[in-house]
Amino acid sequence: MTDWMMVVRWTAVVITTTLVQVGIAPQFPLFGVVADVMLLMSIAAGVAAGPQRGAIIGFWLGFLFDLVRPGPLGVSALAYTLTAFAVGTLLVSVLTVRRTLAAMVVFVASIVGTLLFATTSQLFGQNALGSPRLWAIVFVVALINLVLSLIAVPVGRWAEGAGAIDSRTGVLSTTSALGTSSMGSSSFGSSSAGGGSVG
Amino acid sequence: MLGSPNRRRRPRFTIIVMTLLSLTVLTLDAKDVPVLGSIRRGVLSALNPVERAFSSVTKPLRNAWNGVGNYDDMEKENARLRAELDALKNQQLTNADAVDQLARLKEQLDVPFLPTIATQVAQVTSGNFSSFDDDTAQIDKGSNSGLEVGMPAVTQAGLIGSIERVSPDRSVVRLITDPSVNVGIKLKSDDLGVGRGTGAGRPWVVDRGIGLTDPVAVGDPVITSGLERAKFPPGLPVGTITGITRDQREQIQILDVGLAADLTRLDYVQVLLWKPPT
Repeated sequence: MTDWMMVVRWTAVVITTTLVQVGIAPQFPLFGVVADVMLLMSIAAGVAAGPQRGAIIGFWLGFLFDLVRPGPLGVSALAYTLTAFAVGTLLVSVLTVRRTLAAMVVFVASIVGTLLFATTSQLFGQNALGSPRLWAIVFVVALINLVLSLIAVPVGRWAEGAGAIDSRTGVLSTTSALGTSSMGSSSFGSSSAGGGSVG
Repeated sequence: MLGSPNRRRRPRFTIIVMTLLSLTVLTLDAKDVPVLGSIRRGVLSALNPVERAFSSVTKPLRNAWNGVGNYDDMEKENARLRAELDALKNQQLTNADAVDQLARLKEQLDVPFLPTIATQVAQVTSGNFSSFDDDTAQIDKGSNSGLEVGMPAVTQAGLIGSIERVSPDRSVVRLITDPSVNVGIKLKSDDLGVGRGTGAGRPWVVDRGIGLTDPVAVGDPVITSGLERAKFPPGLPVGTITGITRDQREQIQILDVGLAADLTRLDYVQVLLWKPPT
């Protein structure tokens, strides 16, 4: 059975993240680089919700980001889907994810995700890889995401509806060894033997 | 134990489906499927008031943030502006004819190279949503103001680009610094060529059409040629030649062009209500 409250929470997170990216991030560039909170939240979804749901959240965040940006529609969706899935897969066998591990994963995944986005953009006719500020963008985005992961990952955990972080140890639990929800349902759709619907 | 084979296959199935869905969206977008364009325009229109609201609310913080981040640049610009102000004050003292001053001011406000083309003034919005979009600028006018895809955009100084995407209240301008934008140009000697950008912050070059024997010199103006089917009307200032490289192998001269318009400090632009011939 689908956990509709989890769907509502994730929907709220996706919409809020989009509003932050559109309304706040461009106002406060760091060294001329705009934060990529959409990528951050995709990675946080992979950390908190596992590979399957992380991929779905990453797709929707990327798709919404592509809607407001110039350039081909679907590039961010593809890059963020793959990044979130990779993060979720990496952590699927980790039962407890400490804050420091989560932050490190977010930092590295941000570098990989930004480069993946630039590569995908280049394949579809943009000049992302040729940008003179490519490496500045990659590392500043990763740095910003490293700091903001302290907020993003707990938000992802809240949306997932998993247990709270132990404030004494800073340990946050994944939902299960497979990274799927404890109720065994897929997100944004009904569960089935072959896998979840794509919402 | 990791669980049943079905549970292990579920994430893989999901990632395959999501990847295929992303590729499908990319393909449909490349084919200019109308529904995706409508969705994009609708989302941009819906987010426009949100962005304006955030821009108003965060203005004091933004000014402080930019002041801290760009302090050195602001100091230099202040010094330059003070020197300019002193010069202007000096000029004002020696020229007491108010009518003459007003006439000169009016001349500066008019765009001298657009005598017959109607224009729409637009303001550049607060910033791009991603740092990879440096070759674009978002302006606060759209189809409701008569703007259409393909219309050129200029500042008082010269050409900046053309409209790439339009929603009812907002448009995206693809700047001429984008390597994918080719501009037909004409030199002082009436020689024709094609120029293009090499990315934001990088040189703008004319690397087609100027032969080794064509007379060019540093400082020569570069304007749009406006040939048949050109994307821009004739006579728009692009910049001035800042460097010349002779390529013996290709038998051409490659010209470095300093752009007339400062694309790093766009504020108000004018969109020419002119469409390139299809």
